[in-house]
Amino acid sequence: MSASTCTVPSSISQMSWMDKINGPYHKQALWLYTAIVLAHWCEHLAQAIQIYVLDWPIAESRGVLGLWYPWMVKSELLHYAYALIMLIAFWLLRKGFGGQSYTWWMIAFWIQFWHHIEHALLQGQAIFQHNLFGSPVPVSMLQLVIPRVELHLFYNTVVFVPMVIAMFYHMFPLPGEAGHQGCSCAWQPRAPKT
Amino acid sequence: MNLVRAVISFFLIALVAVSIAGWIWAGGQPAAQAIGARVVLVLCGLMSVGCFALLWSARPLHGDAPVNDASQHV
Repeated sequence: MSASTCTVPSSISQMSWMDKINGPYHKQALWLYTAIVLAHWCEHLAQAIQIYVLDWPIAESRGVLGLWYPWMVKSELLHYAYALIMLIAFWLLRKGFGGQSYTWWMIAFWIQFWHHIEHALLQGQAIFQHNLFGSPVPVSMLQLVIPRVELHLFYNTVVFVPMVIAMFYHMFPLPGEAGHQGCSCAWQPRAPKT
Repeated sequence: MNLVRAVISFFLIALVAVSIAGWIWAGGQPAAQAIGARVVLVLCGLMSVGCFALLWSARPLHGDAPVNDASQHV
């Protein structure tokens, strides 16, 4: 666990912004971050519905923003930006977590790190107009065995689930962990099992 | 605070539904693609269900909202 979670400066004004977002404003920072993650989910779920339910061609299924701004998807910018923002946020907000929740948060961070590498590959191909493996469209590594739409549903799931577990243990700290949190995110002590 | 769990749960349920729809849709795709798609869609569905169950497994001792569930009184 980070030392910063155990340090209590005399006043908020004396804190660095990193200490603030991992301390007194951790809850608000996590709300904002969760909103970004869920907005990203909206894009992927909308795209999946367009393909699976509405039977749109895959190339025309561009999620939500991509319907109005196709260039955001075609340039790979939209999802690369989401991947990068999420990676940075995972890193910035990590010190607010402790114990079990920190472990799960960092699992999500490292998976997101790989997810970001995949998007960086796609972004690079879009920028340099040179696709890997002679493909007619930008491709990422695991796309060689798993179709892109399903692969990125999977990537976002394996990032989202440990992130939610981390938040769960943060809201309901295990016995002995609650006292080490420098924020007000913890809801209440966990009820004993009956 | 239940709002957080409710919002996240909505997305988890949507993901399960999309995984099921994707499984059916993948049946019409070439075999090599269908297998890969279905494997990851099953994993998405299972992880979502597990995450949903965990999310609602804990309850506060003294909630910040009235608690009517008899199981709270231990």
